[in-house]
Amino acid sequence: MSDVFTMMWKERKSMFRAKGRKSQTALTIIMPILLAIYLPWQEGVAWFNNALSFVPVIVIPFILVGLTIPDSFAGERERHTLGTLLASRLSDRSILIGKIAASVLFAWGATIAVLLLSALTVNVLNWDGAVMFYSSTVLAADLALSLLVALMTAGAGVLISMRMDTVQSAQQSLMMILMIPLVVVQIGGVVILQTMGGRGQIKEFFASVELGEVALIVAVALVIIDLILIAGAFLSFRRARLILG
Amino acid sequence: MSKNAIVLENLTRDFGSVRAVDDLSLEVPAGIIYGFLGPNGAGKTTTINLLLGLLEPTAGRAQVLGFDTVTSAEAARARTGALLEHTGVYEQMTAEDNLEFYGRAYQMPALDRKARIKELLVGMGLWDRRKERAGKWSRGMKQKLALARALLHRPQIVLLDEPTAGLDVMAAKTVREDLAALVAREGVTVFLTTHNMSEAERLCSEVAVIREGKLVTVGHPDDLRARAGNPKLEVVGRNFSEQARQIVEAHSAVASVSAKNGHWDIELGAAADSSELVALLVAAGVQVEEVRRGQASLEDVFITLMEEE
Repeated sequence: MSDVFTMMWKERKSMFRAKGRKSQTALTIIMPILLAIYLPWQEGVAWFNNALSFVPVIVIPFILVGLTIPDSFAGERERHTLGTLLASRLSDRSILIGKIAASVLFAWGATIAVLLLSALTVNVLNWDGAVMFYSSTVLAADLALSLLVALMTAGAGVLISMRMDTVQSAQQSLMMILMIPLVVVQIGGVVILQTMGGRGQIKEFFASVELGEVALIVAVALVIIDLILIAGAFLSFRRARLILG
Repeated sequence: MSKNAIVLENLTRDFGSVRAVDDLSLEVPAGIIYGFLGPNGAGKTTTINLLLGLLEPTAGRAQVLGFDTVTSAEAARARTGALLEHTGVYEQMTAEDNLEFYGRAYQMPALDRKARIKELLVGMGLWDRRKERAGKWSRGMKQKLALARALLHRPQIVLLDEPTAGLDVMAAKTVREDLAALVAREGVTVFLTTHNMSEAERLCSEVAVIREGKLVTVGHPDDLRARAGNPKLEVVGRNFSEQARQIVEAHSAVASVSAKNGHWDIELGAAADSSELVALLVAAGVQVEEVRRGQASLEDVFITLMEEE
C-alpha cells in the first residue's frame, strides 16, 4: 500500500506542471467555480433536492480526470521517464493504482469542494436564518456518482494512455470515446424537450424524479462499467508493451 | 554476494524478424565496472532491458544477483539501479523531489533517505540547486542527477546505458569522475554500455564487445589490446629519410614502419629494445624529438573487431 501512496505523491507533485499545460490548469480552476456558482444561483433552494445537482457531479470528474489521466503513461512516455519508472522496484499494481487514484481523488476532492461551494452559494443568496444543506439521499448520490464517473473516466483514460505516444493524442482519443455517451444524453435531452414542450416541464420532470432510485440504477451501471475498464487496464499493463510503445 | 553479479546464458531476443540479441552468454564478476561495448544497434540497450526484466527473452535466460529476470524480475529490480538511454528525470519536479520519489519507491526510511540524498547531491556538487526544477538544468547536471538516483538506494548492481552520451567533454569528464568515485566508495557492480572506447578504457576492469547481438570478444582491456597486435613505437622528429627507413626495417625486432604527418609508427616484434632502435635512427641522421612506446588502443581493437566479418 505504501507504494501506491508513493506513486500518488509523485503524481500530485507533477500534476499540471508539464510545459504547455497552463490552459488546462486554468480550466480546472475556473470551470468548477463557475459550476459552483451559476447553477445553484439559478436553482435557489431547490438545488438541494433535485437532480440538477448531478450536473457538476458528472461534469467535474469527467473533465478533471479527462485532463489528468491521459498524462499517466503517454506523458511519461513523451517525457522519456517511463523506462526509468518501470525499471524501479514498484510493482505493476502499485504504479497503475497510484496513477488512477491520484487522478480520481483529485477530481473527487474538487467535486466535493464544488458541492460545498454550491451549498454556500445557495445559503448566501437565499439566507432565511437557518443553514440549508443537501438531503441525505442527494448527498449520498452526489458522492457516489462523482466517484464512479471519475473511476470510469480514469479506467478508460489509462487504457488509452498506455497505448499512446503523446498526451495530446491520448486526450483526443479519450474525449472522442467519452463524448459518445454525452452526445446520446444531449440527443435524448432534445427529444425530451420536444416531447415535453419546454424548459419548465424539464425542470418539473427533474423535480418529480425519484432521485434515490435513479441514482441507484445509474450507480449500478457505472460500477459494472468501472469494473470492466479497470480490469481491462490491469490486464493491459505489460512492461514490455509499455517500453516498446 | 555470489561470485558473478550477472549471468547470461544463451540469451536471445527477437523483434519480429530482427534478432537484437543473439545467443549471448556472459558472466559479470561482482564488484567491478564491466564495459559492454558495441556500435549503435548492436543490442546493448535491449540487453539492459532484458536484465531489468522489462523485456522477456525469446530464448535463453539472464540472472541478476542470482534472480531470474523473468520469474523474479521484481526482486532483481529492487537490488538494481538503472540509468537508461534517457535520464528519466522528472523535469517538472525539483531535483530533491526526483530523488525523494525514488527513495520512497525503494522504501528507504525517511531519515536515511534524506541523509543519502544530501550525501549524493553534495558529492556531485548539486546540493545548492536541489530546490530548482530539474527541467531548468543543463544536460550534464540532469545526467548527474540521474546517476545519483541510480545509486540512491545503495543497489548491489548499477546498469548504465551510455551514461555520457550527448554530453560535452567537460560534463562527460565530471560524470565519469563521479561514477568512478562512487563505485570506489560503495563497491557496487557496474554494467556499463558505451560506444566510447576511451571511456571504457578508463573505467572498466573487464569489457565485452558485441556486434549485431552476438558476443565478439570479452576480456580485460589490456588483454584485448595485447591480443590485437604487437607493441608500437611512435617516433616524432625531423629528417626522416628513406635510408633511415631501410635501416630500421632491416632490424630483426621491427615488423613494419609507417610514416604519418611528421612521425613514424614502428610496429615492433614481441621483445624489441626501443633504445637500440632510437640509436639506429639517430645514427641514420634523424633528429628525434620524442619517442612514445605503446600498444593498440581499445579503439583500435574495437575497429579491428568491427571490420572483421
